[in-house]
Amino acid sequence: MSDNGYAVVSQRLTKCFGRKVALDCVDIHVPVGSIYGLVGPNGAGKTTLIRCLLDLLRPTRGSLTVFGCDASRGPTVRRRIGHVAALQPMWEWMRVRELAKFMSGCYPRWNADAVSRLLDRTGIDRGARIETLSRGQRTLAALAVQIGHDPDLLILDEALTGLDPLARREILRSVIEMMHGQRRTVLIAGQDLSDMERICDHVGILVEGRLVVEAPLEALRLRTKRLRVSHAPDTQLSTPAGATSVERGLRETRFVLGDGADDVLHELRAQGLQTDADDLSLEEIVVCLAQSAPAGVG
Amino acid sequence: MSGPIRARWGGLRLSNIRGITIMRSLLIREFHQGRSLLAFSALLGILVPAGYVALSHTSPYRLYAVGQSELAAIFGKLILLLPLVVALFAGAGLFAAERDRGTLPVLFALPFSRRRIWLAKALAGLALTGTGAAIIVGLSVLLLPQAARAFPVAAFLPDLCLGLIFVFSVALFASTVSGSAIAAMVVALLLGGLLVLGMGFVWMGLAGPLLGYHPLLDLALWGLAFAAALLCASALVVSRGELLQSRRRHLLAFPALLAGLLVSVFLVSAVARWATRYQRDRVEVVLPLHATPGSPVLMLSTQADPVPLERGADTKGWSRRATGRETNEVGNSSRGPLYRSAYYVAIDLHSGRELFTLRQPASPDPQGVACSKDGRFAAVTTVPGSITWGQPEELYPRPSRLHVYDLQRGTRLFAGTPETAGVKVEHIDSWPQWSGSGRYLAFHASSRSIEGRNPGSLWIMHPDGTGLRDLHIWAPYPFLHRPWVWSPTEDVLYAYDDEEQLCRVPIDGQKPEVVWSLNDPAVRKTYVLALEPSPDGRWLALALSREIAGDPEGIIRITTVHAIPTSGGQGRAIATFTPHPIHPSRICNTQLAWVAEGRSLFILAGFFDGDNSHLLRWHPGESISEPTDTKLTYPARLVAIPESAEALVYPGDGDHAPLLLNEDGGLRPVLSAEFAREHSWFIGFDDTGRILTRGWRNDRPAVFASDLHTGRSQQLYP
Repeated sequence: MSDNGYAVVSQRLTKCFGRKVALDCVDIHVPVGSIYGLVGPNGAGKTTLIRCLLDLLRPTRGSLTVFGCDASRGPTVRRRIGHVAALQPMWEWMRVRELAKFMSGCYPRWNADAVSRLLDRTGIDRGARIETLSRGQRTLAALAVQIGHDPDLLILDEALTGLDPLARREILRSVIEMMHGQRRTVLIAGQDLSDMERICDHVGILVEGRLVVEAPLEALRLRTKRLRVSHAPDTQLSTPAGATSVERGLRETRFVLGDGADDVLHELRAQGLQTDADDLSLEEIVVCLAQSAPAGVG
Repeated sequence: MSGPIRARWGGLRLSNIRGITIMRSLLIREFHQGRSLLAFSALLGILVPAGYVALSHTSPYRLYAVGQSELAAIFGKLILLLPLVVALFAGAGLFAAERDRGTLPVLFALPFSRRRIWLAKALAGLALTGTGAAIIVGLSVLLLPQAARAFPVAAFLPDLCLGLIFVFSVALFASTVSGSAIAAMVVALLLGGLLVLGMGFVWMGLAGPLLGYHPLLDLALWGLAFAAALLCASALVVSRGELLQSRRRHLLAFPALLAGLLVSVFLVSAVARWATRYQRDRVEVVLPLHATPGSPVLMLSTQADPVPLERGADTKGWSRRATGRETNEVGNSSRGPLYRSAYYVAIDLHSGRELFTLRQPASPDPQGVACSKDGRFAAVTTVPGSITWGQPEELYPRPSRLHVYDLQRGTRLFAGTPETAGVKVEHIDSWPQWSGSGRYLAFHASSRSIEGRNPGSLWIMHPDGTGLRDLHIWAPYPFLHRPWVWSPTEDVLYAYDDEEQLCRVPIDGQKPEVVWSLNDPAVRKTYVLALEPSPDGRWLALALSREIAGDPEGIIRITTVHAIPTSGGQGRAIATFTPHPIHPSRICNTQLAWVAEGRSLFILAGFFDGDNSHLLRWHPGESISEPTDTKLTYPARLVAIPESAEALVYPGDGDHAPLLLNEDGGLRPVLSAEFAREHSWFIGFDDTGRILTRGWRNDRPAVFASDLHTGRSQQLYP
């Protein structure tokens, strides 16, 4: 069951820790079948949002549904969610096979083949204790047991952070395999924007607890432009409406614009100013938005 | 490819098998995680016997004059204490260790509700605790059987189970509020100590005045109620969303615990009250222990429990309905909190009103009661109950408690174990006896002081517990009969001591003075069958059963009755009864009754199985005579009627009518055989001359007061 095609929907989701507001009226929409990148600087509220999804935290205000179910119905929701966190803490006394056996008893479905495939491919010894595994192997083992129950929503919370390129590649490959031919949803939270840019099709940018952008990644890249305007020295250009970032130089001024970049481009060129438009990477978009917070674009 | 569906989700109901199936994984994981605890238990189970062997072959213990059996007993106790450590470890690590390792969010991200996770952890922890305890106790007892012989480990198993549940609950609660297992253990120890102190405080100070439930002693009930409160509080903290992960969990945990404890106090009180009413409605045994002749107050004790008795079709007695449990047998062993209780009741014989009721839950058989002749003071000796079975009290006697009431004012004057400077009374092994005016209370008891243990001595004290004094005389077999009496002047007691002497014991602490001694080298042992002072205080009538060696190793008992002047003259044997012709070791039932203000002493003696009974009359200063040819062939009691020149012979077989014995020795029947059959237990007389009996009403035992001539009865109890 989904909520109008969304795996996760929140409305004015707010979470406070005392006086500190960790999430501030977040309206998030994660489409079913998408790979959704939840990005933002440290302390933006990504992990808080994920913990609310898992019912580890209760929202202060607002609603949060997962596949149409209120997230507070914890077990019912968590049955459909796989969750791999950064530096995944695990029961270190367990062996990998014991962990897999334990997890297999916790879920109504269990895809032993998928687990075996991933463990074999990554060369993780089933008889090894968790405490003897490297950081990458531990994350891969956690991923293996989390995809074992065929989750409808897989959450990777900073799971790629600090891993070597091989391990990251393996995780991303597993995610793509899991998605193959099935309408599963993946929510990746983290700061490895280059990796996320490669596989995500939707992105949400959290800055200081507020969701400043949420859009399909391609659309975001298409509509977000950096305009480089060449002009005579000491010429003071007015900032166009909707600009999220302005860098003024002696002979060149740079504007980053979300919506309406083409209109501004035509307007500047009509004024006789030499203006060029550049595409931005996801990382650059995030940096620009983070610097301009709290102004919203999306 | 998807694997088989292992389990399906279900509601949280114990009856829901699917729910249990789902929890199986959690249970197995928890149990698997705790396997090191089981190894630790096994190690303890081996270390205890090893420690005993090592100590018993070295000298340090001899330094403190500890014998082998005492050393074994110490280790026996250790066997019961070590499982509590396992319970502490098992409970403290459940949530605190997860939080310490950072795995708590992983655990809570599993598709189980918090309640189910808590339940799985609690069940697994309890299973670990039980298994660990079984390993320790089993291994220790197996490897060290002398400890089990020296200390009744099996008898304390219920206490051990209760202790395990309590300690585990405290540790589990501490685990939910602590950041690490070590911190949880410290919190558990502190909290457990506070709760135990709190139990004592509630029992001693709060529950009685506030809740109206005095003997709030049901340790099991308290322990389980507190354990329930702790478990509920911990479950609440775990299930309340994120609180377990935040520091704010303390804001919820401790108020929840406090509320739970308060609820426990009131629930325990309610359960206890309910149990009291429930049991009172099911009184099974009424033991009328004491009716002071001529007193307006009757004191009796009853036993009641929900376990049904059945009355034998061919016998008049009651027996416990077979339940297949040996522990259900009535004996000295004590029972569970809602199982068998002893009640001590004082009844105003004029109004029929209960003056007080003292309940001793989980109590051994009733102890002694006494009422002063004017009906003002009442005394009860009790032994605190426990939930043990077997007879550990013999090895580790619980200190007796003495309760003294002022019946006129309706106040309790004293409650506790009597003690004086440096000396504490341990076990009261006799019925208490009031002096004539109620100024003193005498009892026989063992005591302990810095100099060691005194196995038995006669003590006196005032009703308010002051003036406790050791009279330094040991009366043997005080629980069988009353080998001491007050003189009418109340300044001395007469006591038959262990050296076959009748002593005059001044209560001011002076040395006892021998009034009469047996001086018979052939006698191996004597039993006091009766010791009755004449109402004028001039004579003491003493019935003794002398035990002498027979041929070749048998025992022959000869019964003699002695009249001894209290003024110090020479006592003399006024009657001697020969041993039973076929069973010479049988004790001759001998009863004494002074009538007509001491002008006559009646002696009823015999074996009541033929025509070998005797009813004798003795006038002081004259020879003894047998005034009637009537021979009693049935057991009977001889009791002087207060303020009268007559005595009553009350049959004990239910087939004969009671007999009235006048001063001349004439016998005439009163009431009827049917009355005697229905009122099979004769208690005594009240101050208006009515006889007090225990009979039956609606197939339940009851106590009656009846007019001696008309037979009209009034039910006094229940």
